[in-house]
Amino acid sequence: MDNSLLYNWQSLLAVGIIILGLGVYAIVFFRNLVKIFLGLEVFSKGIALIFLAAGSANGKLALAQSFVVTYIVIEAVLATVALSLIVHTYQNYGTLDIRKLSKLKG
Amino acid sequence: MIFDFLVISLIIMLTVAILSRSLLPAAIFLAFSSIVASVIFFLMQAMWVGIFEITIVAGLITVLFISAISLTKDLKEEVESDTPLYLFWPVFISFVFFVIWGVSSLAMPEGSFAHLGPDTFKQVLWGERKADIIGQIAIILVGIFGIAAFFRKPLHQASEASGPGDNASPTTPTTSEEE
Repeated sequence: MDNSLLYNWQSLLAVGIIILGLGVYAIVFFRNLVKIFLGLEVFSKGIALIFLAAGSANGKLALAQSFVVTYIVIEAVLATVALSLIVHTYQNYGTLDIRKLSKLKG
Repeated sequence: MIFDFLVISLIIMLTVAILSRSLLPAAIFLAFSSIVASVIFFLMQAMWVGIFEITIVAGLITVLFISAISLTKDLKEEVESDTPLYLFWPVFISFVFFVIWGVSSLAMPEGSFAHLGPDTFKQVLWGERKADIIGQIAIILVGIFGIAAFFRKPLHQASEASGPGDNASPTTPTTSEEE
């Protein structure tokens, strides 16, 4: 690992922020609900990297690990509920396009 | 060298997952990126996060994604974004350079992963954060009850689906009017 250029926490912080940017792009610019949630998953991966980079920087990697493990558990519950909501929305309205969904009334 | 390759391939896989026009390849690339991320976590000596990432994110959430995509029958539907693709790459590359410049210009102490601290993961999770475990269990229960609430059948549909043998029950309005 000594000859690796990116094996330090500064590089991983930068990589985490880049992944956050990718997730924000998907959340903001896509219309499909599944794609928006996929952007949220990408966002959460960046958050995990940033947490671990910060934990490595402060010398508290165990605490950062416990936070990220908690976050992954919550992410799984979030994914289950959000995807069930998406399926429910498709069964009721027949579309996943957020523009068409926002035009629906009643 | 392996670590650099893994980090760069993680960014490439996530970019492909975001830019993919079809949903199923996007979900599969997200799963592959989770596997690569878990290897990165292992190499960062964060093995518990790696285990959780590879089991929950690469396993469970991918299955949920693919089942949701197949249930919504959008497997071949192409996903459009508001911005055209040629705008993405200049913005993305300039964002990458901005982030690298910003992180490198911060006055932070040098160091790779030398200072890992005296605590172990077990001590922190079961010693300092024992109350949070109860919170996690509560969140899992909230998820279970939430899904049960979303997919429960309405009462009139449940009585219709109960079969012809139950027609004589007093809850059905037709039989009660005839009597």
